[in-house]
Amino acid sequence: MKRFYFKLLMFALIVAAMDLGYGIFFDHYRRSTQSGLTLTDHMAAEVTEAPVIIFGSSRAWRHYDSRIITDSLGAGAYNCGYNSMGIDFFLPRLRQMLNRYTPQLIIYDITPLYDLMVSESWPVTLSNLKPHFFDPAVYSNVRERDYAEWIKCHSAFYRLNKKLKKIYSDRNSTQELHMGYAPLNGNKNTKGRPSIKITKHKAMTPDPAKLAMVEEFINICESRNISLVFVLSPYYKNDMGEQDKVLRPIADRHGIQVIDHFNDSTFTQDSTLYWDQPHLNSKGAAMFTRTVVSELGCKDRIRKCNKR
Amino acid sequence: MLVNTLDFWWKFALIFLALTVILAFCRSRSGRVANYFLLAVSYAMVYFYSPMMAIVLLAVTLITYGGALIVSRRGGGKLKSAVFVLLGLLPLFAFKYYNFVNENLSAAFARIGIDTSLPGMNLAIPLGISFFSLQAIGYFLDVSRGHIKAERNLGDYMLFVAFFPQLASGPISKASDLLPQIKSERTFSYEQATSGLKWLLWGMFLKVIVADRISALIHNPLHYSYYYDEVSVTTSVFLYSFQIYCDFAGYSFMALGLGRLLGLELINNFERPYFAMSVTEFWHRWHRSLSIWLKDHIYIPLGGSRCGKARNYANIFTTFLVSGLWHGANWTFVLWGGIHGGVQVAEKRFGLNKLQSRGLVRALRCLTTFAIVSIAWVFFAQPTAGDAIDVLGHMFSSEGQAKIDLFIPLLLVAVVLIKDIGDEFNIKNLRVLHHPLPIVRWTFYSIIMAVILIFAEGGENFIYSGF
Repeated sequence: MKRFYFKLLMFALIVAAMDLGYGIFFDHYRRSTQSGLTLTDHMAAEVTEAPVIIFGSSRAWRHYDSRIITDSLGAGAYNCGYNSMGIDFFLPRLRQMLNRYTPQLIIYDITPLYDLMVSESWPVTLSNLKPHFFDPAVYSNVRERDYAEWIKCHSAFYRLNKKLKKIYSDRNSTQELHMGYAPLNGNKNTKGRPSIKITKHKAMTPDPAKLAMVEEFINICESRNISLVFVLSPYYKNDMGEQDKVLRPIADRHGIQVIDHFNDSTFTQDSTLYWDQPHLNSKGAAMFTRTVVSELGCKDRIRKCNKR
Repeated sequence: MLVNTLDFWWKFALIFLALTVILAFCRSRSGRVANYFLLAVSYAMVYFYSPMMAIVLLAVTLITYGGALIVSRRGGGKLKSAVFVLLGLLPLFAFKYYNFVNENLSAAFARIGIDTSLPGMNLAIPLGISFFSLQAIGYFLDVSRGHIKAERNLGDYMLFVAFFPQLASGPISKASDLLPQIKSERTFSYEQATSGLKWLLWGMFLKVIVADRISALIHNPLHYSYYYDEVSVTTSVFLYSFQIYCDFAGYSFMALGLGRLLGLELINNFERPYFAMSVTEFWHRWHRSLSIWLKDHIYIPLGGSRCGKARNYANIFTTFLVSGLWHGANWTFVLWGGIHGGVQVAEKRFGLNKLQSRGLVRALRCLTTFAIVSIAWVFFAQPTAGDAIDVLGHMFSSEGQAKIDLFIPLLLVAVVLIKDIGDEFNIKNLRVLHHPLPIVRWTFYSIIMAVILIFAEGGENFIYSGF
């Protein structure tokens, strides 16, 4: 039995050494990736010090042309949007940034499903936070939310499981990126021809845990004197009705501006502006970004700050 | 309960540690204490997975245990045995076949204007019910025919039916193989434990790397075949054969490995089935424990081969129809069983079932058998016979343009084939997990482990755990 346990221990040590090696290799591989969402994620988490930051799901990533914002406000902007991510991802992401610098303005594109409503979002969020596990902000966030996962995440194999393939495909991606912004051109092809598939949506219920995180996000911004603006960007042939009923009371309580174009018929009825139902294409994004910038209540202050 | 999850693994590490402590400190009564421990663990696992499953498992166990004692003490009339068999199979019929029988009978009677429909039952089928029911019924039939003595120790019998590594997807152990092991004193065996770890590692690789990867890739070509070109559909049909092999054999090898680590030797369910030269031989290599069960309890009682040719052919065919129905309550499974039965009857008629070949002829026969088995899997995998026929049609003519990327699945199939060729023809340098040089063995253990940990999706269900 001693011999068996000795060999088992030897094997465990080999696996632990491989685990360590894989973690080092993976971090290098991830940081050296110069395209795709991997690059946006790396820049947002570890590099950018842009005064204007865009947060939100893929709708943020696809809807805000950082170049237009930079030119209009005279302040560098970086689009930190991340596919399928909501407030439980962007709260630790904000803390990661604040350990590095303090942005002046955060434009947070709200997707109700990810930011306000009940959805099974934590497993996917955790999976996207894992590459940054040892960042103090993420480390403490995971420990508070899921202690068992926090223990498992100390293994690089577990933490980075399935991520290698994603990074490999991002490295070979030809996706355009402009200061984080990833434009989509034309319409998505469905069944071999350009068309937009319309999906019907079910009624959603507000998630108290997510709403508490939104409050916390606002409190952090207030304490660090960061201007925060919530935006509800348009949705093609929207059947979800008004979605600001949940957000508006919180925003009003803190005096946060909400720019609501969720049901704006200027956008919601024009298929030439969309790549698919939830996402504007590059033409729609340019138009929408200009609209948002023109409506920003704090734009003069940002311009003034960055002139100096 | 699912052996391909991290949750299972940390629990198993604790179970194994506790068992080795028991074996080390309870020397004189190690077997008995280990049995109670394994029984408690098995039932705890089942209960926390699904309390309903624990109840069904206990009910089937008690019916067959009590039935075996009654027929062995008071003599087993056929009627008495039939009653216990029906009682033992009742949960299986109720959960698995009630809706099927109800729907088909209602439809048949509706054609002559009689409404016989009963309310449908919307209950999840307890995991592994087909496996533990067959194992328990097999034991009862062996006792009632006088092949073995009835087990008096309820604890030992409960462990025989509920031993957790085999519960979800078999193998279906024979009482004459497993019960004597359960009853004997056990000591820790280094060789048995290391061999168990090798089976575990290889089984895990087959499941979480090969089967799950292929599954993700061929799902669309097999379910939306009209979007894909002929090459993609055809390749997906053949890749499905490897997916189901790696999925089911992966589980069976893990069960074998877990059994060995816990000191019990389970039957090896798979012996490189795609190297079979005939469909008859295929069934001696594929899901061997089911084949043995069907032979012992369906084929032989029907008369086996000790009767006229026509009757023998009918027995083979009937046995495989039952096999099909055992897999699921759907006509596609019956068709699948019918294809296997029909081909075996043809092989027997022309003497191909016992014909041995070598070299190129053997290779051609293996490929032919693989093609027949792969086509039969299409019926197994599709929800309706119409869907299966569509997929088969799209293998030859499809208007779809989409293609699948074949590099990764073909690479994985090549790895599996190289390992199986090494085992089949005993080529030492290809048997990397049993290589005489420790450095070669350990290098491969480490590579396989790393590949599993980096690429495994984890948590995907086993195809056969649904049966």
